[in-house]
Amino acid sequence: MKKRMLAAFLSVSMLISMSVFIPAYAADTESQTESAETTPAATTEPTVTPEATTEPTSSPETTAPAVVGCSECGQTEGHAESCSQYIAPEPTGCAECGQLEGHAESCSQYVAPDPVGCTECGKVDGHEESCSQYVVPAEEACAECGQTGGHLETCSQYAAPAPDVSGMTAEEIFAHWEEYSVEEQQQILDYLAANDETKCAELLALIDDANTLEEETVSLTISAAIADGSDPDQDMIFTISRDDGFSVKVAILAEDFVNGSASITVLLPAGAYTVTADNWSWRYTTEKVENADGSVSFTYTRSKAKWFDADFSKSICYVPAAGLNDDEE
Amino acid sequence: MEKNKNQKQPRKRALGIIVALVLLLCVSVGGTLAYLVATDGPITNIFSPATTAIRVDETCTDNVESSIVVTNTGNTAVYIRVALTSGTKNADGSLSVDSYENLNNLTLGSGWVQQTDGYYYYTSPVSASGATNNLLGSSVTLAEGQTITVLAQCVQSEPSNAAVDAWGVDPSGLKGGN
Repeated sequence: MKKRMLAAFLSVSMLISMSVFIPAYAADTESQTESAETTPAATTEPTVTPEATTEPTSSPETTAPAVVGCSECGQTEGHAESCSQYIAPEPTGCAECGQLEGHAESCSQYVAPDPVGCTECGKVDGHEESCSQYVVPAEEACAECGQTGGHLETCSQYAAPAPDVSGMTAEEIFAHWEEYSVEEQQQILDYLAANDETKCAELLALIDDANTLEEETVSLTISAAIADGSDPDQDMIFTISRDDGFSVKVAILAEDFVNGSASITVLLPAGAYTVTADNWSWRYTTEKVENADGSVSFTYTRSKAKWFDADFSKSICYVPAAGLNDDEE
Repeated sequence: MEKNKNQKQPRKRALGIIVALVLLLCVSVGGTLAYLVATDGPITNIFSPATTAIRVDETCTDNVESSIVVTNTGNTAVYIRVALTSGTKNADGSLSVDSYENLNNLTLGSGWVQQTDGYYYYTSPVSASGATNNLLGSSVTLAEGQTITVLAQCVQSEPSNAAVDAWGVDPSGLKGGN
């Protein structure tokens, strides 16, 4: 008896199920065939989503006839943008950087925008001081000494003020150039570059000339000593000559000797020179020694006592600023 | 007997005259010597040694050197020669030397000759208190900062071999002086 009742219950259940699901399946299959005919793209790329296949049964839309579109815009799926029922889709961002509009600078798809300068001064970053839109930047205080304008002398960033060269010519500045520190020299050049370009150029030319001269000159020291240690009564003259015919004379004056010896350092154009002692000091015989450091030493021995003689020398120096200097001996 | 007496008297007179003359001579010489010894002081023989000394006088206006003259300030005649050196004295005491064109091929004044040793010789002896002619036949313009040192030297002009022995040059024999 129980078995018959159970069989009857199962039969009824199966009947009910078939009467409900078979029509629904048939309707769904029919709507899919119809949409395939109206949208060719759907034939190549079916738009059936897993959601539609897995949950098609409970939705009223799926159960309603698919051929029925919007009463306003006629769209069977969704709505035209002009339709009052149109709902804009949510914006989709970049898959890499997530930006909804454009891309982050770190994104590989980022394209830097062309810089757009100021319409008045043309500067892309900020503005020229002459531009009406220029804003003077606020002066920041030194983190060490707290000063906004410059630094305290105790501050490590303190720089001594540049020497006042405003009233000096380029030649006058250059005359003391080696007395300035490197920082002071730079300050002077900066000052002149900003205030007097002509003077700055003149000074730079003088510095260049001096550097060139220094590079192209050699130093030669000539020493003279009297054998017996006494001071001489005659001046000493030396001839410095080069193979190409260059020849000059230099002198060590008798009054320059101290305890029987004296020397002179001569700056010459770069080259190889020969130094000889002239017979100007004819009372003496000379002995020459060329030292390892390139200097030359002469030893004078008094050998002639005959005849009355005398020496006299006088130097004339032309210095434009101070005029002529006479130095009699 | 009377005849012999008359022969002896002339001999006595002659002897007396001789004795008188001898006495007169002795008195006059002795008196003179006595006078000289009594009145003259010691005799001093003064010798004046020769001295040689010179001085250079030059004339420079602005930077134009127009005259270099050497004066003999000693008391004996001398020969004179001059050397010129040139350079720029630096602050550190060194001397920058270059071949200044203004000292090459100087136009020399009258009486001056440049010898192969580079020195300028005055070909005539310069007497005491005398002076040479101007060394410069034309002016020399000094470059800025240029120092010219004039070195002058003299040696006695007599005997004639003094200059040759000292300098190896006989100034009076040099040719080419103006």
